[in-house]
Amino acid sequence: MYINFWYPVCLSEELKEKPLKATILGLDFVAFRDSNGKAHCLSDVCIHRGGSLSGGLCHTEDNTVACPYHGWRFDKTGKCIRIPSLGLKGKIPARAKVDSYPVIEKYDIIFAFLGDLNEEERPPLYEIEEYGADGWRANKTITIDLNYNYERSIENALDPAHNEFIHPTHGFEGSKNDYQVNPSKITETAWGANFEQLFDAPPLDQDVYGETAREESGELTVFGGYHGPNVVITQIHTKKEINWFHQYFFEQPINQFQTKVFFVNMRNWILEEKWDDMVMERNLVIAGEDITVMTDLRPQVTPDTMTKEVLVPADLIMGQYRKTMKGWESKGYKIDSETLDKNKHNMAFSIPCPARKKEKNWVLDPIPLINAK
Amino acid sequence: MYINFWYVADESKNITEKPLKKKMLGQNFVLFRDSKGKVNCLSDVCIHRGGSLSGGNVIDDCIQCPYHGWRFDGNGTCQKIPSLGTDAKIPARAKVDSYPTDEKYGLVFCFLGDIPEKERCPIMEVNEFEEEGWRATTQYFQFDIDYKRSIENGIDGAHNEFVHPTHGFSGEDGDYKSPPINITETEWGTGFFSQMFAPPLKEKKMREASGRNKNAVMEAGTGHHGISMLWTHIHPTADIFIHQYMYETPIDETSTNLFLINTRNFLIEPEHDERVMERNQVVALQDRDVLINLQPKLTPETIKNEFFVTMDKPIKRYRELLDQWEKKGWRINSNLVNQNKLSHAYAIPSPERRKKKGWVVDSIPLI
Repeated sequence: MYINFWYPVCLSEELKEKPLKATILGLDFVAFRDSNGKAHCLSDVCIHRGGSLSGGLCHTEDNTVACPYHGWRFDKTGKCIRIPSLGLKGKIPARAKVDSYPVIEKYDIIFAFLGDLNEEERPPLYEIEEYGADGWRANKTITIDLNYNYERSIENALDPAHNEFIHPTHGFEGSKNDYQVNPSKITETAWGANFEQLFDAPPLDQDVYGETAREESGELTVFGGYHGPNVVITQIHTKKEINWFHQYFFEQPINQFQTKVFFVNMRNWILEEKWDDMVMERNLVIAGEDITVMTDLRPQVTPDTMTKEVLVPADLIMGQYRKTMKGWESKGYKIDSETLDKNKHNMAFSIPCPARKKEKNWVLDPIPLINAK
Repeated sequence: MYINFWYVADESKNITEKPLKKKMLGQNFVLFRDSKGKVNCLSDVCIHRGGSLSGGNVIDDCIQCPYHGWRFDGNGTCQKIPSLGTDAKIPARAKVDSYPTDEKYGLVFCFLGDIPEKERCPIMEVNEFEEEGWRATTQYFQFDIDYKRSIENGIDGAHNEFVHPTHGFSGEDGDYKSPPINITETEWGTGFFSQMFAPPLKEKKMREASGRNKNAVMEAGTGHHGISMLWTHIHPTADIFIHQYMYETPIDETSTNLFLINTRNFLIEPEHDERVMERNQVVALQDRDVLINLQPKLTPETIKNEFFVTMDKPIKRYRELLDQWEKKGWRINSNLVNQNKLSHAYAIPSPERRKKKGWVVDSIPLI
């Protein structure tokens, strides 16, 4: 797991007048809205005596979240502005602050930047160009819970050779004699890589597939890619000009073994609302097929070295993904999960926020990272 | 977790001549009553091949292992090894640890450690128990929290206003500030009394019984005794007293048994017991709901990762005492115990270990 990227915290609709707890990268965060409805995200651990801020209250009169244990109030910057036991005139020490993270609300998702990079160095939040554009329709953003590692999930979405076996409903036939995976065209981007992949597509019959049916076999193109460690893109173009499905998965690693996927589905045909349910139902059938296989992969975390797997040309894009991640590891972004696990009962950590680069004197230790190379 | 303190294993009524397994300090113990009614507490691990003694039966005041029938008396000495026949000599090494026990206030206490009697922290007294004019009730809770977090919560004078809004106090009032506290220190603990702002009691019966029908200043005190015992004295008025005594036993690092004795000098008829216990339960669950989410799960090793203010002084003092007890060599090395949990059985050393040699199960690793 890596710091210094944008991670989904919760759906917009989930965050109301009460604070909300989200576990991301193995640590707890609290999200809350101020009186203008703007969302904020702080480390959930009260620096006083470890109370869980998300169990407390939002105070709209001073736009704070208050700890349920002793009522300490923290504003959107993470600064403590009230310690009740000291009285109204009590001076609040500068050290009384928790980490506060940059927040963007987009695609009906609340995202937080979990890291300490300055704004100009940060990877941007992935931009869905067609979101809100004419001629496109987005399904309601949903979440899918996975009991497996997010990198396993990302690699599966990138994998051009699993469809024929995991998703037999697609109609592709991996077991026929002349089947072979077409070569992938990979291009690197600033924060990941894209690929273009040609699939041989069989006919899809009218009875089962209705509007999405295809009379004869042909070719379909998938444009995919990853952005950062936790965003994966799948754009399925069943025809050159139209009949496109664009799928965007913003993944929230809850910890090493659990993941919550925030799923945005776009299409440029069958635009009426009445098709929403059918489209999502199909998507969830496919997701279910992936989940069944992915839940049982071993080891649970992708191996650190490729010598423990046998990789073939169709795995090229996964190799690329791992290479990009190694790059972030060498920058010192990778969380030292082993040390974190070992101390889980006796140490509370915090993901360092951007303010840590400017101010000293933080109560919680920053999360242990694997040393930059 | 620390050895060399008295811990409550269970309520007296639950210990019979049928053996009962209890986990304390992460280790298993077997408790049973002998024919004279005395409670015995032994290490649960049979020194032969590791059978769990509590799965067996009590025969002739001995606990008999379910695996090969070895019998151990209340002192932990093996009295019979069936496979050797009746005339066989029992080797001196065939013994398990046996711990001093005491029964008080309807609770069974076990001294889990090896220091001599005169060096032991005494059991916290409940002077009001069975006194005229007082009524006692006993309650039991089991929470998935570190017992130290719970003790620290007990001696925390600034949490009531937020965790127990049902008390009627409000920390949100503009003029609220924690009252000053007078700390008193004893050899085995720290306590303090303070004057708290108190609104009229919400419940009619209580309001009438106490006569407190307007804002007042109320005296309350709390403190800890030893590692895991707490007292709280609440004086809603000058004549109405609630004195509570909590005995906590770590089951392991992250779960705790709590035995609460509540005494009161008003509404002392038994018919009011249920109402009192209900109130206590509401309050206990309010604490639990906050404590269960504290991070980290265990109290931090250093206060540099927390932010202490004036009201946290008693907690700081509690941690200093913990450090002293650690320096005496009483603290269990839980990391090591956890690391070896599949390959090693340990015993908390009993007082006999200071007198005799030749013990089969290793003494638990200490820091």
